Amino acid sequence: MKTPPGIREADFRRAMSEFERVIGAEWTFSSDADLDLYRDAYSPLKGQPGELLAAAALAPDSTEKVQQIVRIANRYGIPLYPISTGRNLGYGGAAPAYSGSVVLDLKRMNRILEVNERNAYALVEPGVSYFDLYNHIRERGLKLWIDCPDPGWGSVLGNAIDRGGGYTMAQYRNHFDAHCGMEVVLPDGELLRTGMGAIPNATTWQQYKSGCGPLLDGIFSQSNFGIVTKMGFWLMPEPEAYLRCTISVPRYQDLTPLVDTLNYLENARIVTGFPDIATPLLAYPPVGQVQLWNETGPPSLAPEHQALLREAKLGYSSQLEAYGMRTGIPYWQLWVSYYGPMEVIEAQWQATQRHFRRIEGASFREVDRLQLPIETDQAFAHHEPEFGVPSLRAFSIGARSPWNPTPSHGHMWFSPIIPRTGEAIIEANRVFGEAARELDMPLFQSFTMPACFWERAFIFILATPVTEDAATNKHYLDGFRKLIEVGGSHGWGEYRTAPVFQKAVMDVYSFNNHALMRLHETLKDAIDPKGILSPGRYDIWPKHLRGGRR
Amino acid sequence: MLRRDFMLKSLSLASALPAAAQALIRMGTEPPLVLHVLVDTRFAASQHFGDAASARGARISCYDGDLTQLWQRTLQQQWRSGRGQMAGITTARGWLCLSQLAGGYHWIARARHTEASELIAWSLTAELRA
Repeated sequence: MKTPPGIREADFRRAMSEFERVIGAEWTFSSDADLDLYRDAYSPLKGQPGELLAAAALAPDSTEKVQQIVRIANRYGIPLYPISTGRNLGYGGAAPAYSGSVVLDLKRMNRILEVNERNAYALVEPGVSYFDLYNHIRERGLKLWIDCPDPGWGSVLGNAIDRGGGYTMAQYRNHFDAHCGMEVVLPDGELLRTGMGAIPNATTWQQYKSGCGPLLDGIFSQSNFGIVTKMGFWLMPEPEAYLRCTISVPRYQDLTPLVDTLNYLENARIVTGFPDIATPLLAYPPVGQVQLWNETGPPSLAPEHQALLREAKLGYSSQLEAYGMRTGIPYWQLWVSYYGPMEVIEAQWQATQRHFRRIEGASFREVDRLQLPIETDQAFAHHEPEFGVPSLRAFSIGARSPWNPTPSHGHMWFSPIIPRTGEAIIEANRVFGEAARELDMPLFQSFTMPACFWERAFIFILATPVTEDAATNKHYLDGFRKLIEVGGSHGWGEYRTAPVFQKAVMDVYSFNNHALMRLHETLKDAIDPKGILSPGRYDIWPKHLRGGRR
Repeated sequence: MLRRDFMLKSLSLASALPAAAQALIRMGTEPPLVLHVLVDTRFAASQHFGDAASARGARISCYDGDLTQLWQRTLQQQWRSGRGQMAGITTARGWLCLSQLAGGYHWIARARHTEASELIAWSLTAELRA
């Protein structure tokens, strides 16, 4: 039997016996075959000494059992690593941040406790997947949409507390911001409800977020201060219609006014859907088209176009720009979309065009105009997450394709947040491009575009491949950490990362001699003095594992 | 409640697919397990495997690479039941998706690279023991 570090085997056996009494032997896992399920399928350290592995796994089916498990773990000092469904591939999967932890697998807590159509919210447990919630709503004919990531196989709650994003309106596609109310098991087994849920028999737990007094919800995301066992989410009322359009501009310098105008229009809620910026001239697709490119390959380019691309510096050459203007290939292309009554979204599209006409040569195209609802199958003719439809389509890429000539064995997401300006896109390409070439990293080797998952900042989400070769993986791990550091030196930080990078990422958030991390550690010591919950998650270690740093 | 125990079935599908299919079918005749073969219609090797299995009475489900509808309409319910066995040939990415989803129900996954291509020959197994 594997044992957590520092725990005597006899004590661990006793603890496991007590866990079994709570949840039953059938939901207590310690065989190699079962523990294989809690390895990170995309681990760059797979099979290596540093791979993060679980010593055991427990699968309770209720909050009460989670409380009992936590109390037992506290008595024996057993480190627990809660997961919802563990589907965050590229960000660590189900593997614990501290090797030898006991994974607390909450997949069996999969009850949809409430879906309220009148006030457009849901209350769910950690094991509820986007598919589950989508099916629940469809089966009951409720006029509500979910906002899901791509792929949509993960936990609604888990994705939110990992601060993931989706593809519909700004107020829903930031999954943490769209939550309203939490129930949390604290490290001593105490049960807490946040917001209005702190009132016994609360009637507005999923309608008003902040309650009264300090708003604590944030400390339970990307952290190890508690186990979230219920979470409320605001849902999107099913819109009446959908309109998707493009705005194309011809010159390199047009990127700055293009982004500025988009920012105004989205912040003013005139553009309501997921904005998506592509660069046809630099052959980089919008996020919503990547799947199509994966399936069918990118559009073929004329030989002259390809030659000019090879010569362009930072995505620019005057010859390339001239070529684009001559052939009608836009430098930049913004995809915008609208949800709402047709008469409203037509007016929004008209206003959008009026604002973008200030950019000389801007051109406009209507791509999709749909009366809603549409059937699920119809959504797949488009980018289905923009219709609140979860899918597994991201896995349908073939063994090889022109867009994906060398399929990897996984990836690690490099995902820095940068300012939402045209200048920042170019500067980030310069900074990361130079660093990546120097480090021989397969990122930013050509001009790369960020995504608009959040309404006030851009994010690059780039896959660093995981290979079968340990030396190559080590090279990429080192390079990845260096890129984090390079980003930090320019004031940019990751929004989320896998455990193997959490120290490097959190080191960037170092204002005033790491005041933020020092507060995290103060909280950790106060809330979880034995350090049993997710030691090391986002580099928050309990005192006995901290090693006196900082 | 029945105790779940998950049996490893190491299947070498790397060569002689019809023979492998026969082995799978033999296992499929042992009640209460039923062999279910998933055919990725994009690949001839997957279709040949499905044909061989079908000729021996296996249940066949087809998909074109996107597992969404198959997951929604069939696999989710089947895997929740906690019994059965399944096999097929697909891409590494398709296999990753299947194995992760099956792992959510503690189905045990086994896979081999096929000799002729980059495709993966795989099996998934779960059993119930009283």
